[in-house]
Amino acid sequence: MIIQWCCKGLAKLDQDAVTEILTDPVGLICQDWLAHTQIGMPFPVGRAMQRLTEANLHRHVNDFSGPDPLTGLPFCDVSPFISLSAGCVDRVVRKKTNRTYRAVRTALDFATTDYADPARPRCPGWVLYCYVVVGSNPAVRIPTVAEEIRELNHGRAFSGWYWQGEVAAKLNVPSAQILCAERYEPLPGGRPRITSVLVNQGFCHPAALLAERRML
Amino acid sequence: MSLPDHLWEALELDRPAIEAQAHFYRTYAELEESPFDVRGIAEILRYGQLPGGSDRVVDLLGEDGQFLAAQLREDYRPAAREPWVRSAEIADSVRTAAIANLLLNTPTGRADLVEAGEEYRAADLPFGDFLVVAAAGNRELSISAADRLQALLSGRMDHESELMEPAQLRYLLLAAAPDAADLGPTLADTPYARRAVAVGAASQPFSTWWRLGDLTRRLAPGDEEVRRNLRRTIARIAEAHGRQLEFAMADTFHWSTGHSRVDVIDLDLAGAVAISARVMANRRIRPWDFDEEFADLSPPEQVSIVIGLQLGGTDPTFGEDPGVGPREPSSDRREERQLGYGFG
Repeated sequence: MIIQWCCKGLAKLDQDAVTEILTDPVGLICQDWLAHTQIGMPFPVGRAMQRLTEANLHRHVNDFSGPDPLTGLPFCDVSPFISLSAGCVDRVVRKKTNRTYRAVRTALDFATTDYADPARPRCPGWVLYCYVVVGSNPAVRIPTVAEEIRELNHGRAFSGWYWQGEVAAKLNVPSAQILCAERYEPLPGGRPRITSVLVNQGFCHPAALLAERRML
Repeated sequence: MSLPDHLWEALELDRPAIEAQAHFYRTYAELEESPFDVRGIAEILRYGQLPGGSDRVVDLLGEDGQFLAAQLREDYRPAAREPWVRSAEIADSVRTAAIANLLLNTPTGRADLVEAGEEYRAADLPFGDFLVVAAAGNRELSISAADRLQALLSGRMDHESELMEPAQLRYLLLAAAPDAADLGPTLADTPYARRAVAVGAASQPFSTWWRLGDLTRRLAPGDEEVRRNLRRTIARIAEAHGRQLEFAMADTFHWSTGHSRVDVIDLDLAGAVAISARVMANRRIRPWDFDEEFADLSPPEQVSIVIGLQLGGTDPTFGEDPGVGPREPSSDRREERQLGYGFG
């Protein structure tokens, strides 16, 4: 078991929505959960847990906008997984080069680019800092551990998204695991400027989970 | 100048996605680090809530977060990172922005290449010299690279020779090519000329790049054989890169969003073509005729060559001195130095 720090980029959310993520115990929720919340329906946790499968994880990582075989909806609208970035080192064999991609760069790209708009305009957004527990081995069916997609010994199939350093959380990332959120707003020239750093005082430090004991 | 419309269409590139990539990487290079280290924020909350704290959220840049912000500034200052980390990030970001901008607007892409080159040069990587020579035709750097290459090949810098990666060695040769006339026999005789290790975006043997640099160096008026061999070598690398692009295009989702792992432009090839075009102009050799010499290549194979020719051509919109000098003074060729955008 490893405590893995990660980033999450969220575009165009207002401060109230981010404050809710930091204060509501459920924290950051998957698209499937969000979709149910938006239509006032309770989230069917059991059914969502059954959708934690290798095939769906593959869809989440490599075919995000493809159809969900269960509902026919775009998978990105009903995914039980949550993409986080922990950064990665990408080995470009043909160039004999290793490239380092920082987590915050990937998160910032998604936070400050409106990919929903075909014109891809710059937009204000948030970068969340959180931690998740990842297993020593792949365990897609276990909702309490995140899947380390960026670990080649876990995600062995080739992925064009490897460089994003993805760690896939499941169903939700509790707010107790979300430390803070930085708001970036593009200046007129486009350079993002930090305008807020929200700290979650209800954050629970992962020291409690680590193999270190304090004296009595 | 930018990538011609017919190549945009043939490559099915999404212009807004390319613009977004250019913009993001450009601005990421200029990003100011957060005034607060996330590790410090985590550390301050290690033992639970602060005295008088609550579960609520506070903004470190707002009034409600002033106390916490002051404590972070006093007791949890960001740990210093290795200085090269941010420098490398800036260089890579600007280089990636250059690839996108060269498709959109040559002068902007050229300026990015010079800036990226300066960053790489600060890390003492010959790749930086190559980018600046390719983008701006800086003769001072070219002469300096030739001096360094000569010293390496003649064994006067054994230690550095051992440390230099093949990829960097070929950049040194390409940067030096316009002013490496003295290296004739040395280049042909060196074991590097036969190395098979694959390098570059198109994963071509080192010896191919070495030959490309040597042929560029040997370009001369009336020597059609050297010209034909150089054209053939450029075309061979372009074909290999074009094949990589065809693979990447098959993955339509990544390709359309500009997130493909294959660079649309092979900067090594485009830079080499730009350098050869400048050498031709300087030595009064008939310039490359794209329609006659490269039009038989497929659109993906043409991209880097087209960009290279634009980069190596005269561009009236780029008139400012890039202000880049050599890292090491040239010992015996000082009088030959001229800063300019050609090798005249």
